[in-house]
Amino acid sequence: MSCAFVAGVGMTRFGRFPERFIKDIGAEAVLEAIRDAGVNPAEIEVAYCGHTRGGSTVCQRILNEIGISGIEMVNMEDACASGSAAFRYAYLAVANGMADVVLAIGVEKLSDKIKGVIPPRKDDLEGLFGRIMPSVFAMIAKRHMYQYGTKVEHFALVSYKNHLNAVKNPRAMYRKELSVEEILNSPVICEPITLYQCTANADGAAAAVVVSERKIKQLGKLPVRIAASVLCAGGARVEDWDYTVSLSTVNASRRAYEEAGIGPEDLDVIELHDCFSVAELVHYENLGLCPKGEGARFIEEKRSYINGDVAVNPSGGLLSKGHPLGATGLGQVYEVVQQLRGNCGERQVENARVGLTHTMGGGVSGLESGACAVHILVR
Amino acid sequence: MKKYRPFMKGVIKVKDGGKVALIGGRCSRCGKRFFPRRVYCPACGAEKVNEFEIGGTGIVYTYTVCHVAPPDAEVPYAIGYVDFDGVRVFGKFVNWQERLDIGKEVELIPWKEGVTEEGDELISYRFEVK
Repeated sequence: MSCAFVAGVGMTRFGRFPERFIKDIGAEAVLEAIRDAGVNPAEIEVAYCGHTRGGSTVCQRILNEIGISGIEMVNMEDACASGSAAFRYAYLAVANGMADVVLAIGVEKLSDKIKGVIPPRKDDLEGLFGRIMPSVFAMIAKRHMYQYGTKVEHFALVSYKNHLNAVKNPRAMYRKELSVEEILNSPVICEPITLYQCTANADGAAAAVVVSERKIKQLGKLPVRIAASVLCAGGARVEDWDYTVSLSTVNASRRAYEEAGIGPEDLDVIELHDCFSVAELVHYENLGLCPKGEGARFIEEKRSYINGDVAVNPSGGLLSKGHPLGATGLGQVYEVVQQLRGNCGERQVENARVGLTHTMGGGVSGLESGACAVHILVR
Repeated sequence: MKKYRPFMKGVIKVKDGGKVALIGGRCSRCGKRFFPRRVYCPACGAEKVNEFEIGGTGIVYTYTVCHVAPPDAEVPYAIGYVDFDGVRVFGKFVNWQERLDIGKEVELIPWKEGVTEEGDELISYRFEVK
């Protein structure tokens, strides 16, 4: 395998844009990424596009707006990890020597499709019984509280931190500081999770141009290297599994650390899948940032704040930046690349050199998760 | 004559006297048990997976009460995982108000989920909190 680099990134603001077409939202992010990379659209050899509800041939519709056609284009669906899957395949295409310049796109327009909670599948056993996504994390929260004595305030603190970070991110959906009391007093969605501890469905797009070593030298860009790329489905739950552990996150991150030759202590910045407050708290443990059961202490001691041991979700995360499902993974890549380049202004993590993105997707009866993607980026 | 039909294929058995049992899988090679049953063992890949019945009394592993729902469900409703002799099963609770907690005992009971066009009853299950 050869090295692959991120030469350019682009991202729309995340929010609700009912008046815009999905192709226009996508094209905005792609144009920014191409211009940021300094490549000509004609140089792009392959394009991968992650989305969950865009309908057929979204990639083609987006790129046709810009004037890119005739190349290999693949549309991919892996629930909320769709964008990360597109990024991984762009990486693989370059690392395997298939192409020098590859485009990864993540895009979603939900505002005209879903109001409130995403309906679970009726052909899935757990979905049929009303296992909506917030309920999954509420059940993790209950069990974490039972096993480790974690308090609802700890979950709220995660949401507090991420909202605080988003105030400094002009591309975030919600840019208002919330107090722990406001978060806890917002309406209960699934006990003990309240509204302000849930991500919000959003519209938006993000994109990345992934290039070979030869090309990054030619472009003269600061090389941000993709040091690890792992994607896996969740394993089957057999007998005494622990609901507070995301085994796919544990396994994918360990494989990624090994691939990159680093450990969790080397990370400066992380964008992780905080679809609900409790998710971030347990992922501190799953990613090996702290021992099992100590996620509450990790947030209480502010170790995941921008100026802490490792900045987790400096963008505001899914909780405040918004969650346009298929775009989320590439939105994470956008933030980490800009952090490694030192472009993040007030929310900049000092001297960030090593960053990680972590995206989860979907839920299937009997499986620990639908999909889990981990990428490590290094400058 | 009214007939009983499982609400989902391969998940539940309706027994004499209207009782129900869930259909789990037990691997003939590694011995691991799981629900629902799969064709191959998800733990070791062995082809021979035997059927075994899950039912009776279980212990609540975790749960939540949902106050928002997809359009066709009534709120609030309680869902969670229950351990039946070491096998964890997801489902919906009945008789849960002010009684449900981790560690509580529940009974697996039959539940009429709906009626088919032919008038057959679709049989599902619930966890009744003791």
